Amino acid sequence: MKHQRLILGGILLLLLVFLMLYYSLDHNNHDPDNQYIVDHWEEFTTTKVVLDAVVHDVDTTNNTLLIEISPYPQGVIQVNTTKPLTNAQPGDSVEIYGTFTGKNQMTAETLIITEQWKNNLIYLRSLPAIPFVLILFFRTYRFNRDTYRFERRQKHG
Amino acid sequence: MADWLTHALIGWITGKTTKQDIALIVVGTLIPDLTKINLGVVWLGLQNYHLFEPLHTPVGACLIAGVIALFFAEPKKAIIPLGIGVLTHFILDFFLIHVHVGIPLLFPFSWEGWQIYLYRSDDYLVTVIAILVALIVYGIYWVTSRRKKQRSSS
Repeated sequence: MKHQRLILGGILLLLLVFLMLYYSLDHNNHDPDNQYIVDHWEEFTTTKVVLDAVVHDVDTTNNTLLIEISPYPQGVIQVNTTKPLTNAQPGDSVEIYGTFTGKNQMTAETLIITEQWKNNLIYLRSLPAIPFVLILFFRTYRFNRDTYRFERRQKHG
Repeated sequence: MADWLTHALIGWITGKTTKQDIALIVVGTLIPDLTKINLGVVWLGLQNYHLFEPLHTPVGACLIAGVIALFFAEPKKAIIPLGIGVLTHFILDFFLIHVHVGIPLLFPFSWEGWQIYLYRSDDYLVTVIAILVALIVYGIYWVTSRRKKQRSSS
């Protein structure tokens, strides 16, 4: 029984490792990351891509954004758009869907701007979940170091 | 992504109303977001190979749930609530607004993403609604259990 678990666990972990390696090696052909997009921008002059970035500066006169693709030291990218940018501020997060028109220049077909404080609030809202889950779990289960298994506590049995 | 509190509360509500193992459902709701390990990789200044991205796919999350279930006396019983938790996570994330595409639900068989654009990830109203619903459910169960105790004692 113990060996069965070990074998099954090994198989599951192996499958997981294969899945992770497959994604890591092939994702740029299907869902390219920021670094790949910026390095191979010529490929995306006709093919639309999604970029996640941070607003560096906003030019409401020309309706353009300057964005930083952190943490990569690629400088800033100028984004032209027809969408309103009146509420955009430096530091806001931005998700852009569009094409490149030149090195460090792109045109956004769609973009979603998330205010910095709202973005930080997502992480702040997530924090109470950690003690909530831990308390809920360890009120119900305890870890048996001899069997290396979680067992139900008596009152929950 | 929806925040963890919303995920955990939706898991708690699901567990409470379906009379499943709440603790394991709630743990299951957070499994797909183990992909956020990527943030730690970036924060540490290490090369991000996106190794953990597949954890935010149904197959990847179910594999993790399977591994966790092996640490319980009855893995077959543990995998069901963990799986329900994973399912509620993807249902909630399925309705997030993105600029394009969505969750690759069939990965590794397909890279295509699916999504119904309903609410933004920064919309804290969703969390407020989840808290209110959880309080209502908690209240209903608290009143019901009190009445049961009163009946059994009288």
